[in-house]
Amino acid sequence: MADHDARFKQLYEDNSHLILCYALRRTSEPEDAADVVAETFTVAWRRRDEVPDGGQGRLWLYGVARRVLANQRRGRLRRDRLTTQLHDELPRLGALVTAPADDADLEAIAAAFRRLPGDDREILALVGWEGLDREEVAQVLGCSRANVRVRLHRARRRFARELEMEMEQATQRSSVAGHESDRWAVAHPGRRQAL
Amino acid sequence: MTRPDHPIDEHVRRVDPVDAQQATALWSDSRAKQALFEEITGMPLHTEHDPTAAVEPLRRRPTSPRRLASLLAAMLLFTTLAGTAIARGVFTPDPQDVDALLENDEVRTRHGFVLPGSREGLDAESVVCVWADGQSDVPDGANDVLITNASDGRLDAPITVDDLTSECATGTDSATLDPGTATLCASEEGDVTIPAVLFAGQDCAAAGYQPADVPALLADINHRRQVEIAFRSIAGNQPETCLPADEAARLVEAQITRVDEPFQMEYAGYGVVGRLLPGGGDCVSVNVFWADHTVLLGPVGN
Repeated sequence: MADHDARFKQLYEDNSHLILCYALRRTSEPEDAADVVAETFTVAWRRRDEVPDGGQGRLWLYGVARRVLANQRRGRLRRDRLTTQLHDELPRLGALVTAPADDADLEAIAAAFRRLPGDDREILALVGWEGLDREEVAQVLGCSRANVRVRLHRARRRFARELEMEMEQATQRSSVAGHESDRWAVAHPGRRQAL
Repeated sequence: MTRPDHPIDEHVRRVDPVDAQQATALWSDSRAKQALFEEITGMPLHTEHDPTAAVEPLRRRPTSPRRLASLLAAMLLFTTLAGTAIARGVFTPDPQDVDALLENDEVRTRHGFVLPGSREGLDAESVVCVWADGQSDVPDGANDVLITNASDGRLDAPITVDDLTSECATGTDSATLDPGTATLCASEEGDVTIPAVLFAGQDCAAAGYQPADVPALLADINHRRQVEIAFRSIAGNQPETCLPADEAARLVEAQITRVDEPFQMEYAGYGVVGRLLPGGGDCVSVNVFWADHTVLLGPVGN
């Protein structure tokens, strides 16, 4: 096996589970997650000479998976790469996505998280779920470290506000059909607000 | 990989929908993993352009040379487009818009939403404060970074370098420093560039920021302030007035046309909880988010 084939094998061995998790977290159907994994590594195979070594390769794959997902959401991803075996495994992949816990606090956190703008959710997820640091997030998102720092700070702040509001609303909902709001929590940036 | 280093990240981690350990174990044991590998490596090597493999930075909306050209043009010509477009680089907010916002602040102060003697900050007045280790008590790990609003100045006066540096030096509850030791840099935030104020002789580039073209940065901030004032004067976030969503949407769309920038209008709650729908009769207020050029219509009173 040629050198680059061995490198690809190692890339696949080291990262396919990470890309699978990444995809499962961002798709509603296991079929879609499987498509993302297949498409991402197909791209990597075609461009195997360009994939960086080591940890950089992992970030490169995340970047590709992110774009594959974007294409998938636009409905352009073809579903012709999956093997029969992969289809057979899909029900098991679906089982990997944990059901919502029967925990009011956790439900409130999830609700607050879902209400964040997509960009906020993505940057928080890259840190909290994929465990990337700011430098790595910058590489995946294709922006500067400083930009990540600012975006991450804002996303955390918005999430904190959403959480606070969600907890308050959860309390109100228990007695009165209260007024619900969502992104509104971010509508008044700055410490001057006394909401 | 690193573990999350901020308290809020723990909440994110808790809502991770996937058990990564279990997923890894199942995937490693699965026949699909090997089958997929064999299928992929059996493919011929293509060399055509594959857009998903682009690794260079993706910008949602690249900074356009048109923006700089607009700035220069606006300095020479006051207004264009039949006199309705807002000229870039010239801070002349409509006095009626300013009054509307100040009146709104007054009402919100009475209702306890705004501290007496202050006004609500504009998103265009965002500034990143970057302190050196030990200069602040910001609980943000090793960053010592805070985004706040330099909103102590008058709404009808242009923002200055002093406004920005003073906000980070003494305007927050997190640090008390000599504004004279500040360095003004620039930081990208989505579609726009916002000021970043560094202390203790930190170098812009070394700290991950860009050197600031101060006149251009100030002109851009003041332009955005003027645009934001015009948007926000359409409907304030206070309970004593009511502008229905459909009417607000019509006015916002008209304003978007006037300012000639790629704004998009969104409804808070639309598609999420369904409380505020396009064309509905809810009372709304208007806010602006520059990072993604969004004008958000949301319910009054929050």
